Amino acid sequence: MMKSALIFLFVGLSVFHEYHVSVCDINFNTEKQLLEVTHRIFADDLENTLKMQNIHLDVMNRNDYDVNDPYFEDYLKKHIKVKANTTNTSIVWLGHQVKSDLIVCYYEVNVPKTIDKVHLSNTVLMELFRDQKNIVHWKKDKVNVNSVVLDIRKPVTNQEF
Amino acid sequence: MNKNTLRIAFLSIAALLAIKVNAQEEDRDDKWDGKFEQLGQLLPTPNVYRASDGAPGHEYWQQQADYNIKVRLDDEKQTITGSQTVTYHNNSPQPLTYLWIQLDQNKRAPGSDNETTKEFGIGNSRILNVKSMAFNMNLFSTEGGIHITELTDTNGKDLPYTINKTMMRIDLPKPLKTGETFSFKTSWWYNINDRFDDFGRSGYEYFPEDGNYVYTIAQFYPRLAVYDDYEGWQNKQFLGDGEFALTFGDYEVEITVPDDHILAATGELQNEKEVLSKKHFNEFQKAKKSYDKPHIIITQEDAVKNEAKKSTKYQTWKYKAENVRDFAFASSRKFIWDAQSVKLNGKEVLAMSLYPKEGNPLWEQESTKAVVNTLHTYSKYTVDYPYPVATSVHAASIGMEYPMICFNFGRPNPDGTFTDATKYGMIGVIIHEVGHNFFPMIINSDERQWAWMDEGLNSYLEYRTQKEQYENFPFRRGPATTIVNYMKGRPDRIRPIMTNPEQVRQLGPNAYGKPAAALNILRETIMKPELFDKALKTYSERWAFKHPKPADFFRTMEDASAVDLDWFWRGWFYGTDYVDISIDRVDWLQTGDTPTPVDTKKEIEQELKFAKNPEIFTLADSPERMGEFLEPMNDNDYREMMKDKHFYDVTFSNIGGLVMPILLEFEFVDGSTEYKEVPVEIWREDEHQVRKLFFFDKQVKSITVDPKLETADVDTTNNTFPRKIEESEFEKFKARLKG
Repeated sequence: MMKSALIFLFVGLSVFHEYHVSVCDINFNTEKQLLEVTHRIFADDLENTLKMQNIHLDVMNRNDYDVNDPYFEDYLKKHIKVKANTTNTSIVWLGHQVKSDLIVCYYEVNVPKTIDKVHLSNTVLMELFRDQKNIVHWKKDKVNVNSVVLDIRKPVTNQEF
Repeated sequence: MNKNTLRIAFLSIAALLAIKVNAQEEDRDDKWDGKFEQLGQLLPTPNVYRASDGAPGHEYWQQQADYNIKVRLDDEKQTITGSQTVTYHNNSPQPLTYLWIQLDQNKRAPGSDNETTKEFGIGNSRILNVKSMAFNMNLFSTEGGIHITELTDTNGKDLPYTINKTMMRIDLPKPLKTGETFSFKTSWWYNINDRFDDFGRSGYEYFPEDGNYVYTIAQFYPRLAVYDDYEGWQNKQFLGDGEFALTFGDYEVEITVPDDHILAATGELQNEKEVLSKKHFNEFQKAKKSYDKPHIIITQEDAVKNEAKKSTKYQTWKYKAENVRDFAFASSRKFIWDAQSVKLNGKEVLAMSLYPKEGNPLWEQESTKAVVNTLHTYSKYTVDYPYPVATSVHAASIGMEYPMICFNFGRPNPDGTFTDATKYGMIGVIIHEVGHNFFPMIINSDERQWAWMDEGLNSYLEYRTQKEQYENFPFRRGPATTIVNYMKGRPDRIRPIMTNPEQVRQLGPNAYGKPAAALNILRETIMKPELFDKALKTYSERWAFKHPKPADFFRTMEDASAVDLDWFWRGWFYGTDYVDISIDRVDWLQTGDTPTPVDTKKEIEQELKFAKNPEIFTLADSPERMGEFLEPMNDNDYREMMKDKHFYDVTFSNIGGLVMPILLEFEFVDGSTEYKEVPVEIWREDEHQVRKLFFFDKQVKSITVDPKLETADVDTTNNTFPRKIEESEFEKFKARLKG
């Protein structure tokens, strides 16, 4: 089973170049003491990486929302780790939407009112593509603060507020 | 302050508009970037080979290499053994003392640059996929590399040659003068790579269930490098990302494979009666006359029977292809085969698909249809497809193009079910790879140097095909919105489009997505469809079966449309700026007797909403005489005309650096709207901040920049006046959950 799925690993290595990118918008809502996350992932990438774990989903099929959503939650929780001021903080999953060929995931993280630093580890799809880049746009109360690109060499970042 | 920190500073200030206007004014004088300067010296000087209007010059020349190839595919040892006679025509004004030949298989040779120049580390996560590790340790199952066994002139006399990695230099017995031809013979063999273990654009896939192979074979013969007026020999080594530069020629190719294999190749099959069974020969003839849907020549049932044969006898398929830049083929006993004839301006083209049963039912439903759709759409926008066939072959996890044939992914689950992601991925890749026939197979650009010239133009037309031929296709490239996230990424990670593909960090967005979006913006927003389509067609017609360079494209698009595009090429192709236009300030005014005094404090803390009442400005009397003219001014007539108008003095700033037209939607208090476009030249004197006066009979309620999201503006929060605290996608989603 693993064998056939593994080929996907390097589809984009030198042949048909795809975007191996996910985009994560994180807004620190100081009033609600929340990190509000909107995470865009290409549908076929998500489908393929779950296939590698023997989970076969039709991720773009809106009728399968209820079937798919818990798997997306599991996957994101495995690949996104957040520490606020050095304390491990868990993700509260809200759900997802299918938009064109993207899966847009929504989740939030409860944080203290004042945070100096958020530590984020984002390894989404890095098990599938060696050249996966995860872009993170940080905002504070909707104002852009910083943008970083995470890759397999450095899938973690510290954001100061 | 360097430009990048400045940009980031602007971004973070975006919400604190009060200080922003001042900060910008301070920096403005020394920040002229010449965004509207003509490309001038950035482009090579036109000459007799490449003209100033972007067309081939009156002494344009190109070389030709004709091939006569005999090749045998060994299905037991998985090897290719071949011999060929190449006839090289020197049409250049220079005498040549040597020829350069590409030995692409040497990219796989142990110790190749491809192996030794991989940049890689274990990474801080300390977890690494085993396949990824093996790849980076160069643990491959096939020993790659080409073995040249013979290289002689046509009389059998050895020719001296030197191999430099993926390039081979043949020394000619005497200089090859203008107009002369030289023929040589060469023989070789190599091990075919297992694409599962060793990756690669060509190779084989093994099917353990029935013990058969699907071979997709390319770069299988020593190929002439391009010699041209631009840089002499294009003999830049093959590292992996920079694809191919190839000379046109005529091919006669004989391919020997097991006699139960079905074969597809570049060109037209010459001996179909010999190699096909009577039944399949007849079905093939029927397919050639099937115009409305694909006709199945070899059914799944036939293919399954074939799989079990395992014949050890071989037979030879003969092909001819004229005026192509390359040759490739696919061979297997597993192939199902369907075909449909396409009428293109009175010419008939055969659209075909070959796939193992593992591709069904998806492939019989969608593949040939996608080929047909591609031929129609691309022919409309470029040149009529000039070749007799166009074939799509199913090969796992790859998309790769050759003249008249391409290898494409898209495999259903083992039970035959497939998801939308698989289906649209498969249709997308087939359109893309068949589309490559036009760029770069026909309009034959140099892929090793410029990936965007084929990938960008091709991705743009791929989008047009998906848009025009399919309903609700989930586009990945093309629309401006699809490139926003890439363009607002870290500037130090982004390379200009005009960069050699080996040096680009993310080739996908750089060579495919960004140029595709740029061309789409050029068509829809800057040039408008009529002028753009005409110019692109002119470029295609001028450079079909020739070797265009970037300047030929840039020059033609301007020359054929009378739209000054130097700023566009500068910004989108030579630079890494992005689009972010902000509407910073709007003063609402009306005429009156007493002007409203200017409040200095209010000037500084300009609020991002309309004042409650219009400010008043006074129209002073004109001087009695205007210069030397004797006519009196009709001040009162003008005053009457201006009396009830609402004037809006609007300030825009260019935060992203990339100049673009300012597209505006005005909404009035009565609910009606008006759309206005301010051409990009508004920025020609000040690239950073401009003011523009608008006037209406009605009071404006709000103004929106780029209302249809067609310019790839990366930050739309500063696109509205008064500022709307827009509900974010996140808030909308959360509100819906609660609702």
